[in-house]
Amino acid sequence: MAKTMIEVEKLHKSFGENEILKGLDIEIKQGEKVVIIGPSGSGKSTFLRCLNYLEEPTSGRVKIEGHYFVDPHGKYNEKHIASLRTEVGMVFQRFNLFPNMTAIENVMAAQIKIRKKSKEEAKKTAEKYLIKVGLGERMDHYPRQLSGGQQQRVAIARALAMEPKVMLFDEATSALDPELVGEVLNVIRDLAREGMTMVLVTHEMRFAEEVGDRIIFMDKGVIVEEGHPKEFFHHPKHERTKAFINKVEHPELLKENVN
Amino acid sequence: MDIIQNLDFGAALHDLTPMLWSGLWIALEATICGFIIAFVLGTVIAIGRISKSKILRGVLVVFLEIIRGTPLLVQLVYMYYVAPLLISLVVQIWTPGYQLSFSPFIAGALGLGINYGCYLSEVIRASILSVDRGQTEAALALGYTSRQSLWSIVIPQATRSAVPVFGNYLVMMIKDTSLLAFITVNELLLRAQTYASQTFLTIESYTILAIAYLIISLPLAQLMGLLERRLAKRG
Repeated sequence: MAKTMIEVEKLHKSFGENEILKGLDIEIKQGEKVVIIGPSGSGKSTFLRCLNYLEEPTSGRVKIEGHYFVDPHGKYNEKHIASLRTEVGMVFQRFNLFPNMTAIENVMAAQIKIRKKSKEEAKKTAEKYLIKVGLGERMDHYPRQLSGGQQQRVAIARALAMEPKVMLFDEATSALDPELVGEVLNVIRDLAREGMTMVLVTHEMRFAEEVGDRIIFMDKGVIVEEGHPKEFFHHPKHERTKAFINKVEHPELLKENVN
Repeated sequence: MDIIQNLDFGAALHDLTPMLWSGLWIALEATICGFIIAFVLGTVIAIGRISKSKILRGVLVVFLEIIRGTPLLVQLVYMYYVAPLLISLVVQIWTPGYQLSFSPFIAGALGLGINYGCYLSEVIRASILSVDRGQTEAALALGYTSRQSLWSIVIPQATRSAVPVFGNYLVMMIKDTSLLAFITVNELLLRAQTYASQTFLTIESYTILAIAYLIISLPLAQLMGLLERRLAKRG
């Protein structure tokens, strides 16, 4: 039995009057790949951002490998949160590379500043991960000199170089031109094979089915259904799940409905 | 006609040039000191204004309004004559008989620094806010604290857009050092004024003075333009 990596207890999140997450309980084991899908506005990105406290939950708690982000009184200690975040890598929809640094500097920066590695050590690690994502030839390029797919791979290398225990992917391919999606998915697929614990929010249903150990379908701030990908995609139980899968697998029907 | 016949630019130039040179050094020193004060103060105010503390933000806004709502000349006079008295009054509570006074130069540099600091703070604040929120999020996700992310990720990027604007303020400050004449800093204007009143070479003195300022500020403005284009090119 693998140990628990992420534990979420009664997670609520509101923005003002608007309740986005309505009490989520989730447990994710080490090495598990969990894919979260759902219509836009379902709260899936907000949920993912709560996992590393980029969003502070309104109530409820998140535990990473047995460590809570906040103490039992809900007290917020920035240093503690920052140090726990180093265990959780995150890849953003819009890459968020540092534009004033080259690819390798992007990957080195946090290793030096946060992990307190020497420059040589950081460089070695950075090279290792840039080669791993297939960018050994582009290390000295600035983000603006790279394609979207290459930028996203640098972003993945940057997160991996911190040697996190969990990786979060927030619609990592949504901002990419269709022909660049594949190269990023390949990198994520390799990572999955190596046993990294991953939580992914994505619209790529085939990829979700292929890479996920578990699919979670969210709608309106609650988990509607979760299950093994095969079961989930081919024998969904809930009406809402069925409707959603039908829509994304037959987008042409959706378009007709809109028109 | 008399006026034209009596013009003596040769003599004025001969006498004034060395005086203006030494005045120029004082003006430049005041500018450098003033700008350093302005930069530090501007950064502190800018960061204070994006902090979470409502009280701090409120205090800073009031301070900014006071400085921006009063003329620089009045602030300089206040800094020279009034500020030392006020500080002395407070310190006398603990140390009776304490008397503080500012030299004209110190009062001048402080006055310029505080005034410009308020304007620079707006430039710095705007350039910090112009950095995409995603940059901070990426840094936080990598384990930076918000302070670390501000200083090592956001501010280096903000500086890029702020530097050219800083240049314009620097040139403005050099010109504003002429106001220091009113609190007896022996810079260019005061020297030209003294010379003019002694020799009655009024037209010559002030014309040469104006040209002296142009000789400093025009190349500097050009330089700043160049710098701006360079930074823009690097993107």
